[in-house]
Amino acid sequence: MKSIRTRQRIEQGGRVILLLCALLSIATVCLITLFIFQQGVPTFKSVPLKEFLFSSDWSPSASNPHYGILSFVVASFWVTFLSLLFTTPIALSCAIYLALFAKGRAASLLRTSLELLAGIPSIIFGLFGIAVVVPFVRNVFGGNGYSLLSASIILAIMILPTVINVSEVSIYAVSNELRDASVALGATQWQTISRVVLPSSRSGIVASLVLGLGRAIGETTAVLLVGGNAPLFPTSVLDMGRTLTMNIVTDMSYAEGVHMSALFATAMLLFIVILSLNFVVVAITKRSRIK
Amino acid sequence: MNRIRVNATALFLIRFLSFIAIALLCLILGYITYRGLYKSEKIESETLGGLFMEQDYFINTSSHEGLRTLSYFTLQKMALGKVSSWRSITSVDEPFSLYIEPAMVEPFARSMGIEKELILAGGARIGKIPKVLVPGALVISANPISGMKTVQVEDQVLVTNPKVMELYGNNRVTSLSKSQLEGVLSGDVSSWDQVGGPNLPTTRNKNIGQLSLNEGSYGIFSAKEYLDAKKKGSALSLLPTEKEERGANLTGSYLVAKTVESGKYGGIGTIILNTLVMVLLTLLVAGPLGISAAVYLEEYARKGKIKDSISSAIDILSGIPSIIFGLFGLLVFVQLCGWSFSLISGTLTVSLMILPTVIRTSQEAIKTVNPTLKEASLALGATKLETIWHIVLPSSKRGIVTGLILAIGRSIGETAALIYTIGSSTDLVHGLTSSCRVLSMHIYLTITEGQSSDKAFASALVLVVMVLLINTLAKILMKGGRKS
Repeated sequence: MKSIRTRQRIEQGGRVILLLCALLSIATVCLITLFIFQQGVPTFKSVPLKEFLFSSDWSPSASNPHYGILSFVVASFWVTFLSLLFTTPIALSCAIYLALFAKGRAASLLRTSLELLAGIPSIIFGLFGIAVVVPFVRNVFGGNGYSLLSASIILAIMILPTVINVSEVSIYAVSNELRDASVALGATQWQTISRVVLPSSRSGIVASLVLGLGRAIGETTAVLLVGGNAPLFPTSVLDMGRTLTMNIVTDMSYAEGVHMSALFATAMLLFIVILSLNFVVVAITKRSRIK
Repeated sequence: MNRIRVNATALFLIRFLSFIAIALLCLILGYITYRGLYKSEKIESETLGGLFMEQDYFINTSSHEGLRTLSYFTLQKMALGKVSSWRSITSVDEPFSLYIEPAMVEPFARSMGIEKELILAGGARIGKIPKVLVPGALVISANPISGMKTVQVEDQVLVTNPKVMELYGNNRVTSLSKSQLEGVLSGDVSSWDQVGGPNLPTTRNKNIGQLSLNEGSYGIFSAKEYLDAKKKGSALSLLPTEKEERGANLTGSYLVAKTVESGKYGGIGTIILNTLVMVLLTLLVAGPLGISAAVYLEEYARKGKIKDSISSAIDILSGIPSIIFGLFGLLVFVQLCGWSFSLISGTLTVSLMILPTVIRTSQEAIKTVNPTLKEASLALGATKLETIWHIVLPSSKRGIVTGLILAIGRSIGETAALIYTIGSSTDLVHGLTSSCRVLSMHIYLTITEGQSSDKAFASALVLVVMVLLINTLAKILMKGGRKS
């Protein structure tokens, strides 16, 4: 038997170690912020913030280099917007189905499928995109297939499980009494869903979509493979385009000096957008909880 | 009545759209499996498929599953001693050796259109064929050798007047697809501009000597005739055709063989091992850290600022896209710590990334431990740490392991965080600071470097199977946990 003093010392030491492990998450977040900003902020010494954000001229290797990321912001916007547009009807249907109707084999099949879908790595989605979605877009809509549209189709599939999971929970949380009351008043199932269930789970659904948006904006590998990656201002969704993440990955391999820090500034923008989206989600879920 | 109809339609739509999700999954998995198992890459070939050379000897080979045919030009290179490995022919990296029975040297040289002395100079072994051959041998013999496969030689080529293949405007005929070739042969393609060439009529000519006279003419001849005519000074061009290579894609040898030329040839044996090493190390780093953090949050932390800020830090961490982790890894582990692109840089980056998953699932597992168990332990005089070690962790073991397995599933498919941290050497990893290519990166590089889409799909199938197995394992564990 160890003496009481040793045991106390072990107890205290263990506590400190556990605390340090728990603080590691905070440290990581702080360090990531610190390093990305430390590398990104110097960009604005040589490139004015206004030019960086609102110019679509990205020519880092030219003799008179320009670093404007507007094209990438617009491409990111289109890709995420379209992917949300595609994913919403399917995700809401799945969420409603799982929360309200799902019973037996079919439901567990759907659940298992969504779990598997969530586990598939993004590189596989990219590969699938190259081989199936790109030729599909090329044959149906024209262009060369590597386009913002293809990227958003792939993204729509990728964020499906995230959106479904969160919105299902909020639809499921709508109290039975509300639904029963609506049905008792003679409303059909669809009327109950569209006028009672969906409105009362609105905040959860919005939160799920914002969460999906965050996933879509930050996704890199899959869009990189199907998006075309041309650093030009996209004029249509069938154009090849380059998103913020694609820009970071593509140029990082050879960037130096201002170019390098411009890439970190791009990452900074991405980071800020994702953080703000996270706060939006937290705010929405908090508000609905208070209600 | 109308509202009932609307109701029925809406409910049908909901059901239909839900099952699109299942259909999408089946489509993705089915397609990856299909392409992973069967080759369907189109390969440009100088010789026409299905037409074989008549020869006075047999060509046998001691190995290589799937090798049934050789191109005349390849065989000629082999005869001249210009081939040292099979890898450009069968993708298997084996040394090549040529054996010829003494009586067969003469007919072989004749049919190859080269001098006997050149074959001797090329290093072919001429003499009695040894009983036991090294793998990778090609044997020219008078009779088929039992236990070896006989190989046929494709020697028919599509020869055209050089005008046909000249640059025409912005276009040029560089090769014909299978359907284009059929069109030309059947006469449906009457002018070369229908396949992207000049505006010249397609006329077939049976005499190779006259091909150089008529600008749009073409013909099918044996490779030897073509080479002989070229030697005599006729202006001729050889028009390649696209051949779809059929056969098994993901084979046993692909799983174990070494990678050659960045994935163009060879297999993924070393890469699978590298992946396992990386995943194991990631677990060793993220597992203890994550579980400790979860224990602190559940057992020690009181409600308040510290717990809240740790919790929200974990939330933020789980929302950060992997490319940002990649950049962080590049700055800190690769550059600041000076580990360059290496196993350790990649592992630490991915560990930070999966930390939130590990913490969250471990927290859930620890939460479910019966408090009376803990109280009993404390009442017996155990310290808190002893209670955690002997009571809490063992009874939440299953949940924690499930979380770790889910985290493995995430780290095994990660790409974006690894592009600028882990390196791309295809060799077996031999130390923490050695560059190390993992499966997901291999797929990414094989596609972006344009090595081979068939190989990318074969690797993708392996990755998908790994991920699915891991997730199923986690699910089974979860179910079992619920029952007990």
